[in-house]
Amino acid sequence: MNRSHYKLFHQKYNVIVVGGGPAGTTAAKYAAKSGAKVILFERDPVIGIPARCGEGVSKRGIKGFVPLKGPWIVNRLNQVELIAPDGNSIKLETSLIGYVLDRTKFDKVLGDYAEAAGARIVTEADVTNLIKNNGRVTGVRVNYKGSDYEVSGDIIIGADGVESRVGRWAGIKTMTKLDNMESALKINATNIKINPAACLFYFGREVAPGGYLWVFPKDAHHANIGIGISGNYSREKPAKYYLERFMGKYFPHVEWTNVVAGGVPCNPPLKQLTMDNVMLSGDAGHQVNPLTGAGIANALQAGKFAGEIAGEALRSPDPIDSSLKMYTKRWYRARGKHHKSNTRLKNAVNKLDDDKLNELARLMNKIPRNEWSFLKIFLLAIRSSPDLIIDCMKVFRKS
Amino acid sequence: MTKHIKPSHLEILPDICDLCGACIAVCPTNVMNIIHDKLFIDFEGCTYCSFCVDICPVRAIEECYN
Ligand SMILES: Cc1cc2nc3c(=O)[nH]c(=O)nc-3n(C[C@H](O)[C@H](O)[C@H](O)COP(=O)(O)OP(=O)(O)OC[C@H]3O[C@@H](n4cnc5c(N)ncnc54)[C@H](O)[C@@H]3O)c2cc1C
Repeated sequence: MNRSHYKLFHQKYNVIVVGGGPAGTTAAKYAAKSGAKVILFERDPVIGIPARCGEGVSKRGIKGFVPLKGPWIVNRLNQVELIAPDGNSIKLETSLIGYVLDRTKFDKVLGDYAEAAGARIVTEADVTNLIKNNGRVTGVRVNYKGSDYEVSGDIIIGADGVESRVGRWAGIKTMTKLDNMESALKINATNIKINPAACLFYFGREVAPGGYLWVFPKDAHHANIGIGISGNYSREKPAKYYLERFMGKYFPHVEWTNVVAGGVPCNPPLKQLTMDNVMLSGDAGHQVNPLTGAGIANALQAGKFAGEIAGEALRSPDPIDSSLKMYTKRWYRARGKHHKSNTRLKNAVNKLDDDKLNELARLMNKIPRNEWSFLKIFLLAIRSSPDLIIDCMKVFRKS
Repeated sequence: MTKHIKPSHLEILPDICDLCGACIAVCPTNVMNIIHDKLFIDFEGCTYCSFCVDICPVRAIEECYN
């Protein structure tokens, strides 16, 4: 065994973070900032590679975590086009809809911040299990460049993404039901001709059953194009089939590279984000917006809460496990209501067939943009399509 | 939708698998894992429900019947 590895792995850490995505690096940063001794293990050789992501994000989602100017931001969008199955679209324009990121650079800079705060990041380090003593988690087993080590820590933060196993090892039920999982695929289009300021969303059972297809331009000739379809539908035909069919129909001469598969866990919120001294964060903690499948912003916020609360728990005279329970509470206070109403909205939207989606788009286009409000759309919809509104009522009644 | 007939074996196609982990998340018995850049199924605990086959965006897991 190499001497420096021996030293690195045979120390006790306050916080062990599993996974170096946005949730993990952010958790590591905030835990280290609070004075904790932190080590983060990432399975892949380089933080930020591969980027399994459409790279779309809102300003509010990343503000405070990274500067809004920098190489991690590749494009600014101020238009959005929602395209109904019949091709009619709803167009919106504002001063800023959001950004297209370079996830590789974004994830890397988040890792740099964690290291600057004092966290130690170790790549090519695959966490293979939790270590338990008398039922209590005391550390992790990690395979580093082919050799196995045991590393002990007071608190374990599972930020191990959609493929998370930390929660299951700890006894938190994190299995995603098939119909809540979006089976996703993304490509980089390299010779497209496109309005660089507009993101496009295509809806409908023909295009993307139980999900949607998106086009996020990086500039006038490059775009991320991707799809998510519900696991309910992907047995019949996989996401790959729908994406290839779409490209053939809408962008037949466009070339693409870099096909990346992925899963987006669009679950209702987890009841418990902790088990004793184990916390879950990001995709691992089901902290994805279930309506849109957006997970970057939530991963950052969840990582921040997890890191801060781990720090607080270590300083507190109370037992660590009870202090960590605050994490679930803080998450629910910040995002719980939103997450629950988005879950209901997702379920209702997924019930709309293509005719109803067409109808909805038609109705919304009747309202002048400066008069858009939920009430206005609601009243108009009641007058023109009473059965459509029943679905919406079901959604908003409880939120 | 057609009724699911349990396969006798599942085969992972490593050249197609992109290691995205969607299958791991939907596995009810937690028997799937990525080890050294390869996806594995621990067949001892596998119930052959085929959720992993269904969710795979690129169809990298095949159902075998014999
Ligand atoms: C195709 C696709 C498109 C998407 N598009 C968008 C989008 O446009 N906007 C948006 O907001 N969100 C999008 N998302 C969702 C977003 O990518 C995720 O929500 C986000 O990456 C979650 O961050 P995370 O830190 O929780 O997990 P991840 O970014 O997945 O990071 C988890 C890390 O943990 C590591 N890991 C896992 N297990 C272990 C282990 N045992 N030991 C060590 N390391 C381990 C992994 O290698 C990985 O690096 C998309 C997802 C997909 C699949």
